[in-house]
Amino acid sequence: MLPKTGLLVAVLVLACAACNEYVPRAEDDAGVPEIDAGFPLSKKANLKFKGNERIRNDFARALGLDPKDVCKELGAFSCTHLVHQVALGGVEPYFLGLNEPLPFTTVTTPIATERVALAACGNRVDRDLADTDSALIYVGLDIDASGSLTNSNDPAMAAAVDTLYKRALQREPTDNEVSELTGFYAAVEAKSARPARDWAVLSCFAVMTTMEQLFY
Amino acid sequence: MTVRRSALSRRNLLKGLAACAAASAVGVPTLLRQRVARSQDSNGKKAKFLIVLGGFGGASIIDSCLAIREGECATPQDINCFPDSEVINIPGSPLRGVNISRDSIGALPVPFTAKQTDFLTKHRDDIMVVTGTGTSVNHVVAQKRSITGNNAWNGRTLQEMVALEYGENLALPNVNMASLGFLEHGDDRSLPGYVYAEPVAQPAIWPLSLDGVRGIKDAPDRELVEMARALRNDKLDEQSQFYRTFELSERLQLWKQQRGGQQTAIEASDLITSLNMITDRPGIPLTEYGLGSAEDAAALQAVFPYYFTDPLEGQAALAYLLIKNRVSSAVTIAPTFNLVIAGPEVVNPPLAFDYSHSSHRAAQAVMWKRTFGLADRLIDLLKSQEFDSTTGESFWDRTLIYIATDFGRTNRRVNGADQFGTSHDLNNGYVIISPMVRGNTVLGGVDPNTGLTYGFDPLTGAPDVNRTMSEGEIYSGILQVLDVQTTGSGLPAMPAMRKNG
Repeated sequence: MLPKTGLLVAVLVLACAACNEYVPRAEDDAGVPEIDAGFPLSKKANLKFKGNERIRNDFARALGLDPKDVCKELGAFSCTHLVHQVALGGVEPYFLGLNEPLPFTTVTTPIATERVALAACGNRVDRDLADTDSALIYVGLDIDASGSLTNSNDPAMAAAVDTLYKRALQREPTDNEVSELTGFYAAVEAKSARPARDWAVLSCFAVMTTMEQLFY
Repeated sequence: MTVRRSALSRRNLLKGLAACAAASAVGVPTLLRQRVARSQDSNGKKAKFLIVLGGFGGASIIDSCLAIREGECATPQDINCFPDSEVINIPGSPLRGVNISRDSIGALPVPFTAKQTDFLTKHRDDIMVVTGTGTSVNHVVAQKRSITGNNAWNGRTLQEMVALEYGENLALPNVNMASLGFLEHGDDRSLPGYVYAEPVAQPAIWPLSLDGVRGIKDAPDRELVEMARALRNDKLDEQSQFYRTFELSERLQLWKQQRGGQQTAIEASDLITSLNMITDRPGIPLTEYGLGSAEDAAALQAVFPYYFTDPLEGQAALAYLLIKNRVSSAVTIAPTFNLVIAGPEVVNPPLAFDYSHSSHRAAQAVMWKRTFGLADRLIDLLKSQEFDSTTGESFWDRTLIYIATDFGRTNRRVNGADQFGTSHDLNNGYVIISPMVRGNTVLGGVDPNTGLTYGFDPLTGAPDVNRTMSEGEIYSGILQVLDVQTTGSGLPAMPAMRKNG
């Protein structure tokens, strides 16, 4: 008797599992708008902040910089491994006895992160604009004497965004992301004395400080 | 593939569950309960400030205010006591201090002179010594227990409770520059996020982490950076697959708060300038980077001349700026186990107070000198700053310095040796300095024949040789001196520690 009961339970469980598998039928979908099912919501959402080591190394790799050139406060002190070491989730065993990273980001973590990004992006952009032949990300931007792009719809902007996403986030940008970032140039141009450079630095800054870039 | 959209989608269901979890405050870090910094006092209460100054490694009270003369001890050859001439009574006070000079700090061939009486005489009316007996002889554990009262109130630290009481409207209510156990968070994670400590490793250059734009060469104008932040926050992040997948993450939600109102408030306060103790100098070209210094940076450097090479001096300078600028209500500073040479002097022997393992008397003398010297300078600075023009109160009138320490030291020595090593001992006492405590007072006492301290009546302060004081009682007394609400905590009443009972 008992084995039969067990078998019955197993069959029912399998049957229920099968029931849960949604099989779309034409009549079910009547009047229901289609939505993108590509964003499964993570129940656990167990993310971690990258921490100072990963941030420095990821920024260096994405922006083609030597890790020691990513960011130096006052031109001398390492941002990631001295000044903002603890705020960026690093450890400091020798002086503080801080052997494990802080469990959560602190109030100064986003600020420190932005400083690193701003410095690293400025570094990359200046190199790219100084020598277009060896430019890595901002390739072929046609900048006039006033510091503006000669064409505010310059396709080189979209190409730069594409390269930046691939190098930083290991994926292609969506059309919307390209559109937002290239469209950002007009807003920068209205306020900046050197819009092309500022756009390049700030588009890089915006991508390098996205949550996608900083958490894993 | 298509799916049906319903009012109770899986995403909405999960969001709802997350909201329920948040409401029940179980498993959701209340770090999310942050607030925007403002400048006025909290809860309508006039601010009070706590400075925890770590007696790192075991600051022995019988090598300071409760020192014993050889002439007072039945067996001076066996007990840690001093030649009579080296223990000085402070005039008009039950306090006593140790004044000694030696040719070396144990194995370190460096002569020193340590004179405690100058400090004790100058500040005697604000000094209260309380005896205490700890519960651990492990450095990290004991340090933490000295600030949680051995978990007297759900494991909350003194600093967290002061930040809770007075720090709600401050930019960084609880800043901790210490290390090991003194740096640890309390164990109660149900408090509002702002009470937990902001750790600082490099006090002299830490203010650079208080503005995302200033001081970065050739950075775009702030207005443009703000536009880029808005683009990132409102468009790139919100629309990204990454965020939509992980939007329930506590860490992401905390991040959004931190980079939002909190960051804006800190940057608007220009703390990168007002907390900067550094001035332009070769190798530190502030002006070239568009940075400025605190208005009293030069004066601070005169008070703490080794602020860049002696971490404790840098910590003290920043502690003063944090309090004076009403950025923090609780600040923690402490030396470390590392050797520090400032100018011609060894100011911090290796292992700090714990160098007593090798050379008790010299280590204690040098470290008490360091501790009192720091406190003296901080007190003078805080006295020089007006807190309330209507009452004439200075910042010092509303500040308490608690010289927390791991534990005491064993009180035995052999054959009356002047140089001897000691171990860790639970029995000890603490020095607390504030105009708000019962100053010029020793609560409890020491048995000169054993070197062991005894307790006092928590209500009257009368000495009681039949009891010792627990970490929790001292913790409670400090909170009550600072008028922190302890209703429902179960903490004992300790009116004996308050100035007016």
